[in-house]
Amino acid sequence: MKRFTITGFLILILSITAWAPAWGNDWTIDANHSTIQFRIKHIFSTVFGYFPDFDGTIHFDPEHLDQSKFDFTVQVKTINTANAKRDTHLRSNDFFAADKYPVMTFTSSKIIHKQDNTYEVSGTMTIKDTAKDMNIPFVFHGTAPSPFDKKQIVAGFDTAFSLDRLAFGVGDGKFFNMGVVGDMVDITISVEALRTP
Amino acid sequence: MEDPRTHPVRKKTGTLVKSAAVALALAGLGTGICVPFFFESQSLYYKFGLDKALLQWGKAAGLAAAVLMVYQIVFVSRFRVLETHFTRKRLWAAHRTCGKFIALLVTLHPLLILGSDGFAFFPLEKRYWPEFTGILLWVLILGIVGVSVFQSKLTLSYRTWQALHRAGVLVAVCLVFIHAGFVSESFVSGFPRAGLFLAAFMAGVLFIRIYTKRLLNK
Repeated sequence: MKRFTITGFLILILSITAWAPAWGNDWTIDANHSTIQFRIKHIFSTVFGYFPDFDGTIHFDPEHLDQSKFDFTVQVKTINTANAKRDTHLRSNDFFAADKYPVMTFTSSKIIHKQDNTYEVSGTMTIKDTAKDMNIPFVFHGTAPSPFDKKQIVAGFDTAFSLDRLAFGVGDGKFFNMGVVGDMVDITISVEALRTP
Repeated sequence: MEDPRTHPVRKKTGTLVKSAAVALALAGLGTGICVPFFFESQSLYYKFGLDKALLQWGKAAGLAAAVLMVYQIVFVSRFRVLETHFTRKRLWAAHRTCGKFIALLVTLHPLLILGSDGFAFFPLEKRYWPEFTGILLWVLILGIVGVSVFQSKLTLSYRTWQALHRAGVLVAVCLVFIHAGFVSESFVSGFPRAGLFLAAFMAGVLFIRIYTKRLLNK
């Protein structure tokens, strides 16, 4: 009985120790100051858009990258390119089929430090049920006490990368072959996250 | 008084007037239906095959309903020339039949348009207000037609029905021009915009005439 109690106690201690850095670095995304933007070529011009409705969890500690993690979920139907008709078309089966595939997700599996404040997150991007492994570089701007609420700490992350929409089945290549809509989408994500020390 | 429908000379004139009126009405209807085929909005550029046909005919159905709504006002305007050659009874019958056609067309209109996008619905966002105006209009028109068809079964008195009908129709005609003018890029400029303004102006004049006559007859 005593042996079981000691073993149980040790497991509990080990569990708490293992999770402690993650708990201490759980960040809440400040949706008002975070954006997921994209741009794509349309014949000669560039169309800009964004997804206003997204959510995610961030566990990030530069000292414990093995326990750090990013998860993002984007609500596809909220796509906004400042043109209501175009957005309806983008939600249709010609592109996102938003009714059938309402979310896009990214789940990280590994984060490595590259240099200075640059890191790289590896993970799985899932769009329209097509999952692809991606390595995405990002910049961690560090942390600072919130100027508005001293009880909170703010962290900043920025990333820019490109993905091939056709590889995820976002369009069947019809508009690309016509020279109307490009295949590569440039994505910029800027996140401000908060936590209580 | 001679009946223009039986007098030989007047009968010929009557036939001409009737033919001209029907031709004019068909021309107006045809013009409305042709707009999505001759004045393509950008949304049509991105559609092909069946999707394009659905979108074009969906828009055409909506425009045909809008044109018929203006004709509905003509049917009840009690123009002497029309009542002489078509009879008031026939005009009222045409008004009732036309109402049912309008109900059918406004039901087809969203089905075909949404069908062209695989029924991808738009989210509840302020920028889709012309589409929401369309939904409101659809409910209103089906309500007007439904209440008119089932007036007796609904145990509505004639006066109550008439008051509801007149108010509903006035709102519906206003909404149809707001919806058409803002929902499609076809009406941003050129001939379609001029046509829409002309139709709205005609509807306005007809309403003013009807309400003025009612006031004077009180």
